Amino acid sequence: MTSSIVRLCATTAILLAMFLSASQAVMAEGLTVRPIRVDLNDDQQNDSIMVTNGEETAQLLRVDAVSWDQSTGDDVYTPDADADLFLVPAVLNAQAGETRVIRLGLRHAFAGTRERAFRVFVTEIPSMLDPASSVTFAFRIAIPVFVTAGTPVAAKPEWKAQLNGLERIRLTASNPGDLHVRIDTVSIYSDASKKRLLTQDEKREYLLGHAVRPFDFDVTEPLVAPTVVVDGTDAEDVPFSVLVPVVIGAPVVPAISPVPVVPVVSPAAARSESATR
Amino acid sequence: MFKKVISSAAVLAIAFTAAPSAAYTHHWAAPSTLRLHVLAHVLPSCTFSKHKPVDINFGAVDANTHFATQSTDLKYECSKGVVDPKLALSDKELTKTDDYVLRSGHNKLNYHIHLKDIAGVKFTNNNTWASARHTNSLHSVKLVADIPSITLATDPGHYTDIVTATLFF
Repeated sequence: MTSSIVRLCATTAILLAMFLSASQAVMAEGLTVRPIRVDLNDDQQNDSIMVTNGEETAQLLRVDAVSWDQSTGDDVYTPDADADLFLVPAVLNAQAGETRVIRLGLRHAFAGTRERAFRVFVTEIPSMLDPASSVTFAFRIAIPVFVTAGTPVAAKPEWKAQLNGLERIRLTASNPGDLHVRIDTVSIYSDASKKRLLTQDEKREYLLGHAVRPFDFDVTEPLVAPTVVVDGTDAEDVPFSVLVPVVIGAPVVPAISPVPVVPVVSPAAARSESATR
Repeated sequence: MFKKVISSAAVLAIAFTAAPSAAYTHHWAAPSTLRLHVLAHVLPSCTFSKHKPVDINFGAVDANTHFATQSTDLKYECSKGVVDPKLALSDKELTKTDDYVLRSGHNKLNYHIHLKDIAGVKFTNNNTWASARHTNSLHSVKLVADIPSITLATDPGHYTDIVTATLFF
């Protein structure tokens, strides 16, 4: 009986020590933000983000929400002018070791089924600048917020890859669906060498609903019968992998190229020349 | 008994590594300041507006990889109309002790700052990183340098700025 109690105490002590150790590992120093993605919908119209200051000094942070759009083919962030998303507080001063809660939610329900995308920026506000010549680095953490309503159409990304010249591939992704997908990796393989030519080790990008985005990849050696493999996850965090056939396209036109000299030939002369052939 | 402890410990460890799956811990250990030595002939007071953020792709980062060992660029440039087009800074890589020089003919400023020279950017919490990778919620990080403003003081040799680096998840 006594030995059982001793064993129980020992086990508890070890587990408690591990608990404390693990807790410290998670806390550590720096800034911890959790979660790093927020999903809102008809059933859950508000949520919270936990921010823990693991530094030894207080940390002043600013919190903003921006609307996220890809209609131009690139990520565009604009102030949430309609204040569709509310955030509280806008500024917080997290003491050393303190965890603060940022509450966010929808002011109103959205019409339609198209997923709305936002980002919440949590920005470090440096306390002071070094009076000497210096560049102070502040960090900002951008947390995606996705809002769905009704029954959205799942993402159906369509991929096109075009070989321009010998060393550049343009991958065009279009998503007619309502929900986003996330592109984690784009791999380029050369069939001739069976070698993986990864031009950008990790291409972590989002493709929002109804967006079209081009991505250019330059490789360091000529491509022969290349193939492109796109790995990513959908809005439900279900992974996907797509093999994209590569078509031959026009050579890449340099940004600054000499204007080609084209002889001016009148239509009549052209017809005459054609007839003599 | 020892096996039981190990087993319980393993379960607890898994629980703690899995729990913060959607969490990210960022560390900015000192020094978080990159010192730039400005040549004395950089006399004019000049304010530069921010340039469109330029992506920084760290690439695949393993659990034990520190960003401080990565070679990555931060770039920004002056806005047109603010900077005298005859005064611009040359494109060059900067390190902690680099000088930069003026060059005419361009009105943009590009800095290429290798993060390997910035000791303050690194992940040290391997558990959080590993668990995040495990759940595929944090596969890699795209870091974007966003320069709100750069001010060259009238006092030559002094240069201060805040560089905001944004981590997009």
